[in-house]
Amino acid sequence: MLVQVRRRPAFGSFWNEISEFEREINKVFGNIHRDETATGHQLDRYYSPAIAAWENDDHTALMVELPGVKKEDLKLSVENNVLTVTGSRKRHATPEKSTWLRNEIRTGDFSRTVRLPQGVDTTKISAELANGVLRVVLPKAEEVKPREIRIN
Amino acid sequence: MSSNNDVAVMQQDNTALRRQAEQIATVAPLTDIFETADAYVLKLDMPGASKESINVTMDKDSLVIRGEAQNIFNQSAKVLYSEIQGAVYHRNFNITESVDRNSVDAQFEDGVLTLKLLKKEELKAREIQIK
Repeated sequence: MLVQVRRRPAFGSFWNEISEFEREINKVFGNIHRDETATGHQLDRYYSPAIAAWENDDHTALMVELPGVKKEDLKLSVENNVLTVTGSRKRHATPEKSTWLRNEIRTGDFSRTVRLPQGVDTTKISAELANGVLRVVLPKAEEVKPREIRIN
Repeated sequence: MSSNNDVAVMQQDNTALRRQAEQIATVAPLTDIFETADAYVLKLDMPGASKESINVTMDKDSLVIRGEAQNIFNQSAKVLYSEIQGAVYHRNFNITESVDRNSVDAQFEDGVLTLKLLKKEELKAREIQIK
């Protein structure tokens, strides 16, 4: 399938750029599904977990909401300065003869891709999964850390 | 567009993001419910919540679930992007007569709260023996 992506103006931050890109894709797929079925989102191959990002002088941090995901079902990788979180969430085990009354939780494969800012020391990235939240710490390389310049 | 304008736009964006991130929005956790022969089982997505913050109460006709996730945005950090809604979870469910009010089993694992509400003894499904 051909997806046309509009370039954003240059002033947007990298996070915005990625999210705009994703929105663009979501919009394209969304329209197709709406035409075919009311529960179109279930046809998507992957779901996208929610993310947040912030930074301080020392590092940039990324948080990904992954409730119900086990560490062994999660993969985190960096290539060409693009960070990818993929994995799958298993459906709850239900005893035999049980009846579903409500199903709002999406299970199955998920994927989320984030372009990292310049100057991340990719050899020192660390990640921790706790209480259904993945926290990724992206340390800044020495040369991009803010520093005061002494005036002689 | 001049570079001065560009900087202004980015700063404005960040202020808006920070305001959004700091606002404590109440989120209704996504929930799955299934019924077994002797119980109703609820699974609620509450990522980031601590076990200690979770509070489950049940009265005559409702089940109330509350919890709190740690606020991830501290003052010294600059928020770059956020799709995460806030730090307070709250959801109510109506429950019927058939639920035993005295026994609820609660477990919190991997950001998912599992509640097992037992059915009253006389309402449990049972096999009827044919003589």
